[in-house]
Amino acid sequence: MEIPIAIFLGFFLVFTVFWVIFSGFNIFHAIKFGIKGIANELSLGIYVIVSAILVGIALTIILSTDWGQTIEIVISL
Amino acid sequence: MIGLKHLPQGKNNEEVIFLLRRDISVLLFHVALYVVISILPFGAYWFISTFFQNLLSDPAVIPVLNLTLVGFYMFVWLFFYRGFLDYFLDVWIVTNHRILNIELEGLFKRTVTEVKLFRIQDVTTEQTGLLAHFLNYGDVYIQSAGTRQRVVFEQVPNPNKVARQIVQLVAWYKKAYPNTKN
Repeated sequence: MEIPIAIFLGFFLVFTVFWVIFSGFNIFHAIKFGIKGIANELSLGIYVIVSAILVGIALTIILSTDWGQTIEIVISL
Repeated sequence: MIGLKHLPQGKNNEEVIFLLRRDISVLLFHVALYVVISILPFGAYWFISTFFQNLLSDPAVIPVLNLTLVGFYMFVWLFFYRGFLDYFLDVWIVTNHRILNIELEGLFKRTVTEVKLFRIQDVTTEQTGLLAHFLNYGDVYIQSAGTRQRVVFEQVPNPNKVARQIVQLVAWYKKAYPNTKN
């Protein structure tokens, strides 16, 4: 049985939507309820930068992959 | 963001005496937990390369595994920062007029409790467990005469010193403002 790897891309995009929403909550809470100061701003900056790096890596993988490929699943009983 | 010089419903002569958060060891435990979780993909790679070698030989599988790995770290990073915010946004602010207890619970619940110094009746500390005694952190219970009976400083460093400072502050306040009723 062959399954297209594009299915995994679909799953990843759904997970990314949830990730973006919850990241938004985190950033909102840090900005609205955090104590004003360098610690809050620095932690928020680090979070955004690392998140951007991870998204950038994911995007690189997505753009460099031929999602029309298939994986063969062999079920042996 | 909440500015310490402009606290909600602050008075003109209000000064922040100190700001407390949970002991740093609570955060370090959280960091250690997520470091361990971050190492899990290496174990998974060993497992797959040992028991499913033919899986890795398929070129179509590699980008799927890579994307799964990145997705895993995205969620680890998300929950790590969430845990950090749980630590960082829970603060107790002691001023020369009141005590503010600001707690963020979950995604949609934030509690701000205020206890005026003249209402404080009793201050108790509690250190439970070997780690709490060894690292000198614990809970400080502040009993007030208000509707909300008790404010708790949870897992704060040097709880006995904090309790002493609050008792001294309350004594000072009652001496400085002897006619305060509201």
